[in-house]
Amino acid sequence: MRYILLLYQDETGFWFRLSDAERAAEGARYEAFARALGEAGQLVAAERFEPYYTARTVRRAGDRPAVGEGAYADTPEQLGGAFIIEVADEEEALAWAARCPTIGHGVVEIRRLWQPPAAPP
Amino acid sequence: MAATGRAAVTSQGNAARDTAEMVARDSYGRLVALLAVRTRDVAAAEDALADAFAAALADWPANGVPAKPEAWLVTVARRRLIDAARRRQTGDAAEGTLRLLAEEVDAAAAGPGIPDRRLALLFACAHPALDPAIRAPLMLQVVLGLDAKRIASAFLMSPAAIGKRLGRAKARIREAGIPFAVPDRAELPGRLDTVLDAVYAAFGDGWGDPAGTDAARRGLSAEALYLARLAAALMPDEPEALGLLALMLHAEARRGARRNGEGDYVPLADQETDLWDAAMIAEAEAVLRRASTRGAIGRYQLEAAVQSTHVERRLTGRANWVAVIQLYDALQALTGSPVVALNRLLAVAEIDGAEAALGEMDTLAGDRRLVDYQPYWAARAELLARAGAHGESRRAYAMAIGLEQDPAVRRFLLRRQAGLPE
Repeated sequence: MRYILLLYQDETGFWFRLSDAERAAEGARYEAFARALGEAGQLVAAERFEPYYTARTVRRAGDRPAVGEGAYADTPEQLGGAFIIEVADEEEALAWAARCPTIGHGVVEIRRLWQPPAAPP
Repeated sequence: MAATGRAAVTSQGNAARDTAEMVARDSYGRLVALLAVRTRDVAAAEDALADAFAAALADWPANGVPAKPEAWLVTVARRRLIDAARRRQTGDAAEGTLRLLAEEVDAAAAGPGIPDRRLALLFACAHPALDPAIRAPLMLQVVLGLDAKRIASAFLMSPAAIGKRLGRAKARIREAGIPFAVPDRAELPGRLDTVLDAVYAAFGDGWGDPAGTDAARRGLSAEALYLARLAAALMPDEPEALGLLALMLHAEARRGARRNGEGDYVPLADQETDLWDAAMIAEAEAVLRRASTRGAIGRYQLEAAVQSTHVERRLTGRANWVAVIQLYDALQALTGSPVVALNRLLAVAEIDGAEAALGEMDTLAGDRRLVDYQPYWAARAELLARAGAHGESRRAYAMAIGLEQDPAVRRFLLRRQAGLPE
């Protein structure tokens, strides 16, 4: 089954405060994590997002769509990236989430990806 | 609802709390065992006991701690159990069982002390009919009264998921007729292994560790050590119960030395031996010696003996790698574990060099169980670095870094990787 790991972190409070060297080391940690997932044959996709302030939101205001600046959720922790993984069960998904470098300064949310019900024979 | 008794006791801040907490820790399993031994209904026993602890919190601060706190608790719990059974309108057979229980409980309460049936409880919790993965959580809950939330985070599961699995295990004990009894002589060896494995699983991940330094901790080392001491005390003639206690004492004794002032990970070879708990090491050695007089070797005694040689090497500066390899050979013959094979190769590297060990390691590389096992990659990276294969070493370190949960160990591995020559 597939799970998505949603990585939330306080970009202004953490990421933007790191020195270039620290940011490179942090990047290496993510690369290592992705490599381990790949080597185990469990990585489906890995994406890192541009900073939260580049986000735009679209909603309908009256009779037409309106575009807003910034991310939808107004919280210190913002979605900064995601991994999609193929695992046997929730426990395995949690085990990978626990290894994710985001933990410690941010939060990893795991969600099972919805599967259409099997078609009747 | 189950096992909230201890949690309720610990959250109250009053004069009776200390007594209640002490009684709770030492008595919880004793009382559950007594209340559940006939009905085999662990969940009902725990609920009744939780009510009794709640009643104690209301009563003891006002009226003083009773002379026999355990007897007080078990009498209240027994009344709750019988009330609950009546409410469920169970049949005559259940009434008979409950009457027997009432008589037993009253006799126990009147006597000098509550009989200790915790050994039977340990065997029930580790029964082969139960899912191996739930045995350690079940022991922690039923014998020590830990709540599901604390167990869940220790085993990296959601509280809801572990609660459901604990509930299922208890239902199975009741319905499958799992006996609350110590197995007889013929059955004992195999059943003993399941009990000891579950205690060890409560301590770490049960995989052992190549450098002999740092088992993956669950944050429950005090609780797991309590279980190991309990198993050893209740089975003083079983060398493997003693061996497990010795192994865990050795690991626990070095805990304070595994992090430096900055919170960074310190491998065994660099630890300050002053920070080791000398009393605990002495106890481990004494327990292991006592085990060895029984003349029946086993996995846990061998692993404790390996820890012993590590300690001796650091304290005396004399390394006996040949002995270590022999211990691992014996362990390998017993367990067939790839982790044991890996540990053995690290000792081989000390005698025959990194290249020789790496050559043998290639035969392990195909084992799927090692692909996401951090210590395998860390060991491989270390040996590759010693052999001068820096590029390969860097890649192996990256795998180890990606698989590590602990930020302190991750920093350590990153520093090792960065220290490789270009």
